[in-house]
Order: sequence, then C-alpha cells, then structure tokens
Amino acid sequence: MPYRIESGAIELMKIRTKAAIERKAAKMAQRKIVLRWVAPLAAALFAGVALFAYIESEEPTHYELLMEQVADAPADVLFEMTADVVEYAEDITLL
Amino acid sequence: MNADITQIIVALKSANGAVRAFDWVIEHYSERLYWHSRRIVVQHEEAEDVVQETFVTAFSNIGSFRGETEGSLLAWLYKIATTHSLKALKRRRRHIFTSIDSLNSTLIADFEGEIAPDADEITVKLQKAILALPMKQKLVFNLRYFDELPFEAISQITGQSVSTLKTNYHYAAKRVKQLVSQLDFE
Repeated sequence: MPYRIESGAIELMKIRTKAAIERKAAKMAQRKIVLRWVAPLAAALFAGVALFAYIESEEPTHYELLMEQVADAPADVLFEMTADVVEYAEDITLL
Repeated sequence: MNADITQIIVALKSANGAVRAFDWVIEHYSERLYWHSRRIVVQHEEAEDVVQETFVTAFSNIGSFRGETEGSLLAWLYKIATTHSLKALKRRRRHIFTSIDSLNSTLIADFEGEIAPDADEITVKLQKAILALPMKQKLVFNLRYFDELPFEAISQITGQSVSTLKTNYHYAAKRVKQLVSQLDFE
C-alpha cells in the first residue's frame, strides 16, 4: 500500500482495541449488575406507589362526609341535619 | 484453522470466553479491516478509530451475529467497518457541506500528504484513480481487487445484488484504467 504508516502502528492499534473491548466488557458487566438490582427495586417501588395511589383514590365513606360537613357547620345547619334523627327540638341540647 | 474458527465463533457468543475470543479476532483481522478502512477514509487516525469502533460494535452486538463460518464472520466485520468508515466520511462531509462523492477531491488531497516515501509511482496513481471513483464503485473495487473477496461476500457487506456489484466492478475497473492512463500524461 502506498500509504504512510509508522512502524508498529498496527500492533499499537491492536493493543488499544483490546483495551477498548475490556473497558466495554467491564461496563456491560457493571450495567448487568445494576439492572439485576434496579429492576426488582423499581418494580417494588412502582407497586408501592400504585398501592398508595389506590388507597388515596378511594372515595370517602358516608361517615367521613358527614364529619366533614359537621366540622364547621353553624348551629342552624346542625339543627337541620339532625332534625330527622331527633324527635323533639329540645333534644338538640342533648347533642 | 477451520476447527479453530468454529471454536472461536462459539466462544465469541459465550458469556465467559467472549473477551478472549475477541482478542483472537482482533489479532487476526485488525490489519485487513484497517487497510479496508484506510482506503476509504485515507487518514491513519481515522482508520484506527474505525477499527476500534468496529470491534466495539461487534462485541456489543455479537448476539445478532448468526454466522458459523470464518467467511460469514469476516463479511460481518467488513460490513461494520464499512458502515463506520462511511460514517466517518459523513462526519467530514458535515463540516464542509458537500456530498460524500464530492469529497473525492478532498480525499485525493489528503492522500497526497499520506503517501509513503518509498511508494512506487504506479501504486500511487492507482490509489488516486480509485479515490476518484464514486463510492459504490470504490467499495466493490477495493473489496474485490485488494481484499479478494467473492462477490457473494461483497453482496453481504454492501447489501447490493451480485449482478449490480459485477456491473459496478466492471465500470470501476474500466474507469480506473482510464484514470491511470490520464494520470500518466499529466
């Protein structure tokens, strides 16, 4: 070949290429180890988040709704709300 | 040799022996791939990078290699090396906003600075003529004339049909002859 090339350049290239392969192999092995741990951890985390989201998204019970309404309600509203369960108006003082 | 290469190919695909098997492959095929790439990209540093990228790509994608013979392994490596060589040219093209074929004059100019001091005149003229060819013709000419690969293997490397390659080779050889005789009169 009429191209200029320094003596030993091919051998040097082989050494560099072999080193590049070793680096790549080490990187791939490292990634494999990380994936072995990361995949189950990610799955567990996802399951946890999904469970939490499910619990959070559950609709409030009738009792919880009633308690919310009662919490800051003025006395006349409380009277209205309890009128159907209290037979006499004066019983309201017992509540 | 044949028994060896079969064992090497099995080792290349194994989890444990792959790195050692690749050492063997690098030892045996680096030089061929280097000259194949050098004839495309011309500059030494670029050809060296191409060879390194070729083996790293091959190592990372060994699972996709389905061959079992030395011929198929070589064709696969040549294909990767050709792809990386063309990518290197494309990177250069991006810098000077031209098509890959119009890089020929740049490649010939680069070659002028890369000629070995002891190179004989006829091989220099031949190389200049080859560098002036369109890329498809250049590839088939190099792979057939210098690497002595069969058209079937060149077909695997370039993805072109054997009949197209034969036509390209015929035109390339004719053009090279013409260009060498032109250079004789310069």
